[in-house]
Amino acid sequence: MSWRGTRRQLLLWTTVATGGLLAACRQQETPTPGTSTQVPGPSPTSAAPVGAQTPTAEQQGATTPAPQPTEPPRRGGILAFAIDADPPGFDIHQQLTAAALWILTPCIEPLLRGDPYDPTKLVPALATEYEISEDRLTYTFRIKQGVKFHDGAPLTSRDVRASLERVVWPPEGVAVQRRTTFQVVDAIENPDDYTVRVHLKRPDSSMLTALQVGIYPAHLIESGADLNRPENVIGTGPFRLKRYTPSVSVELERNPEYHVEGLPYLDGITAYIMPDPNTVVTAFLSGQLHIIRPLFQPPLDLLQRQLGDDLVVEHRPTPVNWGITVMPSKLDPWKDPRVRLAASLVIDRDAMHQAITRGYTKIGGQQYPDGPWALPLERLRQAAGFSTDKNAEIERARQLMAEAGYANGFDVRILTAQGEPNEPAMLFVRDAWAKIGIRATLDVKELGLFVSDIINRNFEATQSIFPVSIADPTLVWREFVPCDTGGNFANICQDDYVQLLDQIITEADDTRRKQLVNELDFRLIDEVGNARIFLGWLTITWGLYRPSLVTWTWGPYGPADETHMTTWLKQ
Amino acid sequence: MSLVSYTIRRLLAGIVVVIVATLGVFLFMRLAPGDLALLMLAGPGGQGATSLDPQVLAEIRHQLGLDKPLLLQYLDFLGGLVTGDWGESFWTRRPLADELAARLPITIEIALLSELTAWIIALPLGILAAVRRGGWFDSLVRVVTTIGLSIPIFWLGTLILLALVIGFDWMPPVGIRPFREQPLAHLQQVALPVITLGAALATSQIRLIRAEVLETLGEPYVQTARAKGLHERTVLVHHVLRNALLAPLTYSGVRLGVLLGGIVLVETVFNIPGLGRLLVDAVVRRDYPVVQLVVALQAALFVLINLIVDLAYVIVDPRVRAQIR
Repeated sequence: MSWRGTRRQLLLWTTVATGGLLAACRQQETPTPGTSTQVPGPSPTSAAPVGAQTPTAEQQGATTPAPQPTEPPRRGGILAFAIDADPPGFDIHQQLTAAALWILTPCIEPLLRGDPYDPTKLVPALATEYEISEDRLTYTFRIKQGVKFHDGAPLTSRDVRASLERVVWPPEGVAVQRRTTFQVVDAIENPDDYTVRVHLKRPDSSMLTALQVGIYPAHLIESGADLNRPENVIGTGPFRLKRYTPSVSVELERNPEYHVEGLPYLDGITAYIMPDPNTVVTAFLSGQLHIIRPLFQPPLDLLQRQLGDDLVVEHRPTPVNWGITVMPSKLDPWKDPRVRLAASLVIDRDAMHQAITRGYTKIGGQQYPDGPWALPLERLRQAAGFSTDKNAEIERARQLMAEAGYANGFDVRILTAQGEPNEPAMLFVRDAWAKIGIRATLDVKELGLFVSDIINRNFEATQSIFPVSIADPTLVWREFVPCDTGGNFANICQDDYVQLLDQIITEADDTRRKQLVNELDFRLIDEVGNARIFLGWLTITWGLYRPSLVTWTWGPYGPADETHMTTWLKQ
Repeated sequence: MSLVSYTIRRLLAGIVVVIVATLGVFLFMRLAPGDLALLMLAGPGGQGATSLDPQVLAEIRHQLGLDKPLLLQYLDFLGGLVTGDWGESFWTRRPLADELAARLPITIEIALLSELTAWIIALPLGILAAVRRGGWFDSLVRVVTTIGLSIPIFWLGTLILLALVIGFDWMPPVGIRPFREQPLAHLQQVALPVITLGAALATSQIRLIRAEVLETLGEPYVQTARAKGLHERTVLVHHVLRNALLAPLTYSGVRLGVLLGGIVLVETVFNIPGLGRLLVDAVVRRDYPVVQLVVALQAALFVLINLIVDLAYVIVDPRVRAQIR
């Protein structure tokens, strides 16, 4: 969502939109019969009926209407769910693990957040509105007034500026992984108490997404406090941190001064630290946990048998795409692009997804398959390795191997980390490569050893996994397309890929941008760009809950989006 | 040599054992590829490994002190161990004293109760099996203990929990509750791991008690006692058990030392935040301070328990006392 008009036009449209939204919200407070427009969102399974979804009074600026509720929300109660480990820290600017984000997202808010009913959109959170200048070099945010932090301090533009500066130019001792994204930021200013401006050196269409940064009080940042400590979790969110008991639980309590009236509904949230997935499932069955998000496929047969209709199962591809990076510098055959292409052609991705994910995900391009930048299937099928005529592709692969002088194949070690789905996926690749004479052995290593080998480039071929952003198509490619990135293992740098990526970054028109994204996506797959054989989407994120106990909307961006401000308990 | 000098010599030797153990663990952990900084950035599935920022990596390593010379790191650790400044966990940044204080009590509680449970089960069954050797009871005990030894404890624990939920729609409360605050909930939480672990420990204990009692029953002094006309129960209690239980007691003492180091499988299945889980998680994460401290404490505990058991032998058994002198 972007604004390119004058400030007067912005105010006019904001007033119209806000007025319409307020009217819609008033309607939603008293349920009325009839239907509203169904919003495209995360795709639920057909295993069980979708639970009732609550209208969200917080959707200021949201342009997507919510589904009509079937009963009014109840107040009170403590939501319980499990996390698989202690959060490694509590600094939302540094923490990327789901265990940390599930705790921090309800406490610390950004300027903008994902629309819970439409993953393609951002809606204001602490910002009431935003404006992008015509030259796309200046982003202006208007900060919501009357908001307080958990320690009682009022939110002003000084706090927003301090938080943004901390991420863009991290001080010593603060490790922010996304900082390469912010290299384009030139300056940040706050001309008044409720306005923040971010100036860029050059246009970057990803900047709006990148600026979804948690806002801390300026006095906390300036004091030099270690924000990784639980006592320094101070934000403006609907919940605040009450207690952290290591290896036991993290408890959040309702923020009584939350700036959205009437929210949250819950009295608190307790995240139990439970590393064993079997114990988590058992606790869910007993009703002690309201929501579970297992990393591996849960025992659906058992759960459905025990819970029947009182079970909602949602799943979506984890925003992490899988591939194999081959190292031409370590193994001569990989130097020949025909060999790399052959190795890609022979892999049956459809069968692989069916085998690894049991059909719960489907093939897609390098962009998130359910997102706005996804490569259309008919185009994807034209890419090498994705055709439905697998026999023809295998035959072509054999010809390429023969042309390259490897008709008898060669030996290769595939470095992979222990566990699922790493090992099954690489076993599948090994079996596929055997069809064209590539004799692969798996070099399965414990995570620490695996990471060490990756860093030291000690492999001939390895699984390579990159996180993607649903909203920002460039995040994944910034990791391995440019010539000087850590993710470009093979050090194969093609100027045309880099130029295409630059065009995507600077392109303002969304339609043209989508075309460019699809083009780069296709080429990287079809040409085995940067010696990376793209495989697909092999991991699934699950969300299960019992509609008799809780009403919950799964955020489109996963843990970075789950505030629970509209979650409520039925019992 | 007097008992005091014997004890002092054993303690000094114990200190050497602890130092060697910590040095071994220190070197092993440092030499294993992949440090905590790498794992922090790589994420739990390693997906961040392919896009690590070397500058960020160097910063984290510097924060954690991993860029210091190895000798300096080890001396820092030893010095802290002696002075009581145990440092912080690399992962959670919490003081290690707090981490241990949070976990040690529950580990001790479950270890002691499990060992007691094992004795309650094993003692009567072991004795009866030996006294009725060759009979149906003896055969039954041997079959059951063989099966028990074959069953993985984590499988048993998971099965028990699932059976409770499916059959009775109940499982112990999640999230350990202190006994002081919620005694009933606490007892509900520890009962299952104690029973599961105690039953598992009892299987080997039964067989040991049976073997020792059988051997002692064949001793000449037992025949003499019977020849004197003593009641069989008197023979058993006053002559057989006092000798037969020495070995099982020793074994129990040593095993308690192992249990006090944490029983990670039971802790994981029953969601107990104990020392075992702390140690395993720390090894996987390369959380060096935690691993080093826990190993040092476990080594010290083992040395101490072994010393206590050996001293008990000296006090109880005049033959051992004579050997020392």
